[in-house]
Amino acid sequence: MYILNLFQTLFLGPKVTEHPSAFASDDELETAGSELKRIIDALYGGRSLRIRAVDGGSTNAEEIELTALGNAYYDIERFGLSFVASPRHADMLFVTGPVTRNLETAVKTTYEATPHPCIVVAVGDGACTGGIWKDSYAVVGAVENVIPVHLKIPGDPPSPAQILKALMGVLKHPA
Amino acid sequence: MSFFIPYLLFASLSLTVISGIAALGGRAMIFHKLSQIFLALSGLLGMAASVAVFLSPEIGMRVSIASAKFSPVFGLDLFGAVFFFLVSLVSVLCAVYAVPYLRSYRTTYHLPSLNALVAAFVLGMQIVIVSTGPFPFMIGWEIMSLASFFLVVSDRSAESVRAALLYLVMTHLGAAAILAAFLLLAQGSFFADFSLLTNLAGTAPAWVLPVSFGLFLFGFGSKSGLVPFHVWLPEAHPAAPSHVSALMSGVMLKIAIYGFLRVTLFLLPPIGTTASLVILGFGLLTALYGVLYAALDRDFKRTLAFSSIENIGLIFTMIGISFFAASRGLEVLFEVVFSAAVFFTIAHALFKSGLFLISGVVVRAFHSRSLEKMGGLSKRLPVFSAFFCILALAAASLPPFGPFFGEWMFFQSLLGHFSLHDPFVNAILLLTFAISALVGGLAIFAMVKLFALSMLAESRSPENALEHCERPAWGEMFSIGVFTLSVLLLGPFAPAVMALIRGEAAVPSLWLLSVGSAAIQPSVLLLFLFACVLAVWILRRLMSRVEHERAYHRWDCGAPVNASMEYTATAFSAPIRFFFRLILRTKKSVDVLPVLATNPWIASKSFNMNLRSIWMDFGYLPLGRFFIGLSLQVKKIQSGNIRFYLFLIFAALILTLRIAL
Repeated sequence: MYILNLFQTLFLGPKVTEHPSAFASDDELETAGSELKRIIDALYGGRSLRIRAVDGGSTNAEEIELTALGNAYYDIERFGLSFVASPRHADMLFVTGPVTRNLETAVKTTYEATPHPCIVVAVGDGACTGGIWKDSYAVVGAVENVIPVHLKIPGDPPSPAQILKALMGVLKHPA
Repeated sequence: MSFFIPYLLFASLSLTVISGIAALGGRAMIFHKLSQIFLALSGLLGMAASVAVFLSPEIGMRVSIASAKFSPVFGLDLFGAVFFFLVSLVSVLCAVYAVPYLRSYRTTYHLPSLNALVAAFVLGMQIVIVSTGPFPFMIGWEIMSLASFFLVVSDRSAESVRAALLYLVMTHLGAAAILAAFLLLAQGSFFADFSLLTNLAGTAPAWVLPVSFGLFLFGFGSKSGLVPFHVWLPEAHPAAPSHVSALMSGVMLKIAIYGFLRVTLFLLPPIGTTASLVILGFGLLTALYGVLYAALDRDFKRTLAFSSIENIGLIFTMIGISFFAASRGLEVLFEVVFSAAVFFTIAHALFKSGLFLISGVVVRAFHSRSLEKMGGLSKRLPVFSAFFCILALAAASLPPFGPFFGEWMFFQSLLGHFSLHDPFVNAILLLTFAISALVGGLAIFAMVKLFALSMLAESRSPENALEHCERPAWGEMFSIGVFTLSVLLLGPFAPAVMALIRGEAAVPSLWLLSVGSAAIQPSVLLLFLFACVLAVWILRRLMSRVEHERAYHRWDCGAPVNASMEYTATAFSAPIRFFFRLILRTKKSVDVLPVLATNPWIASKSFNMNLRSIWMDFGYLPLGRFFIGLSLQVKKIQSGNIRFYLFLIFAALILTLRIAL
């Protein structure tokens, strides 16, 4: 009976996925993305730029935006960017949140475990300056107080498109 | 040259005796050292004597005492010289090893008696090999057995005493069987030498030959650890001090093989197909059973002991196949497999003695024989663990080390004879091939377990225990190093050793090993492997930008890695235990003890698993119970009633008269 229901839903049920044309195309994102892909191809010889995200004590707002980068709408893997599970595989670190005293070691250890040269990106206001937690007794403050930072992406939180554009900026004109 | 060769042999035997006497001088370390020096000298002279026989095999040597009625007493032919060389080599290295090794244990063992017993043990083995008749042979055999019995009890723990008593019973049943077989063959003339015995065996009644063959098989089989007469071996070998274990496992088992080959090749007429299949069956059973337990056991030295059982099984398998080939008229197969068996025996003596010497250092470092408490020694002792790695790879019969070429010749010649139009021979060869291949695979598993769990990863012993562990002294490292070098060199020199075993004066090439159409160059294989390693190293230096290298601890995801995360010996061998659970019948139990009466979830749990021996549980223990029951019944005669005793005496008298008249 259960199987029958399943088949009914599968084959006779309503259509739940939309055609891509149903969405408004974000031209700005597409151009930034294709530009980014060109740069990464040139820099890394065809392989992806691997990113390791480290939570340094954020409100998870930044994590939600970073997760959105991987969804069907943004789908950054097509631009040659991918998130990896270990800092050993990473070219770039995304650090979010004002670094709390409890997570200071985690941020430092992850940075040390990443093969160098590695690009450190502070994502969000907390990571850039400390945000509303600046000078609190519980935080060390901005990520640059703990490890060297190469790129800051302000915003509370920055949108996925902003993150992509900022990445394009740093990869195009390395400091 | 040939004039003073007998004196070498005689001096070797005498120095062994002197070593024993020197040991009894007292507890001072000087007597200990003196004893080991004499033993080493005796071994060196023995090696020289053996080499002299190798160089002129047709002469051999005889030491005769003119005044004795049964001259010549001692002799050494080419076949004996191979084994005499092994005894001498291993005893030299064990003596060098024992000087520093026993110093660490001078409170545990009573050194004077221990050293004297080791000397007696070596002397027994030497006498067995050089004896030319059953009488000195049995005397040597008994000296060897009794000395090794006392060596097993040398740490005087209850466990060792149990192991030693089991050993004593088994070894004396075996000795009784050998003695009975000799008496049957000799038909009363016990002082006959082996050549006379050969003639007597040719004219013996038909029933004598199979019976004496069975007795010899049991006698030598029980000494060498043939399943199901092996029960004493995994208990007794680990209980002895490590250099004695090396002598027992590396050489004493070989003496049993020597004895078996001596009687089957030189004494008995050619044995038939049935007898060779019996040897083959025992060999395959032993190899399979030994390797299963070697893969499963969690005790370092017991694993080595089971691995010895496995290797003995392989040697007996090879012997069985070669006799089988001889009985079917396959002369080439007989020759090749037989020399492979002797070659593998030599290789086993070298790597197993080396591994037992290694076990001494390992056990001393961890203060335990349990693999579950080891680990992490390779960081402390890198050179030592490199030696261990080579010996373990050799024990797993991997190229380019010596033992591999023995097995290669065996397998290659099995494969080469499949094409014969005889389904019976084909079936036997195929079965042997399949089981030996399975054994080979499991042997690699066992050796990986032994090396990886004791040497690699982090230490499982308490914090910093390894920091203060005793490093191997130079004497210990020297002996282990020589054994390592010898298994390494046995590879490229395998064709030369093989030519020596076959007694061929002119061989086509000293570097080429060939069986039928297949040929292999061990030295090229060794060089190729070296070249591969070198190429990888050079490529790494060239390809990677070494200047960017930075050392940092392993990525642990934030949770510190500790020894509790490591693979244990129990877990590592779990797949094997699972597949063979019908044979192994391991007992597992988890005991749950609630800590709080109110909450059943808070409980302390303990896991127990014991490996059982099916031969003990279903063979020896019921047999023991039967005999104890029988004895209790017989004991009822001893009632204390004097009239009943008088009746018994009267009955015995009547019976005797009835038989006599």
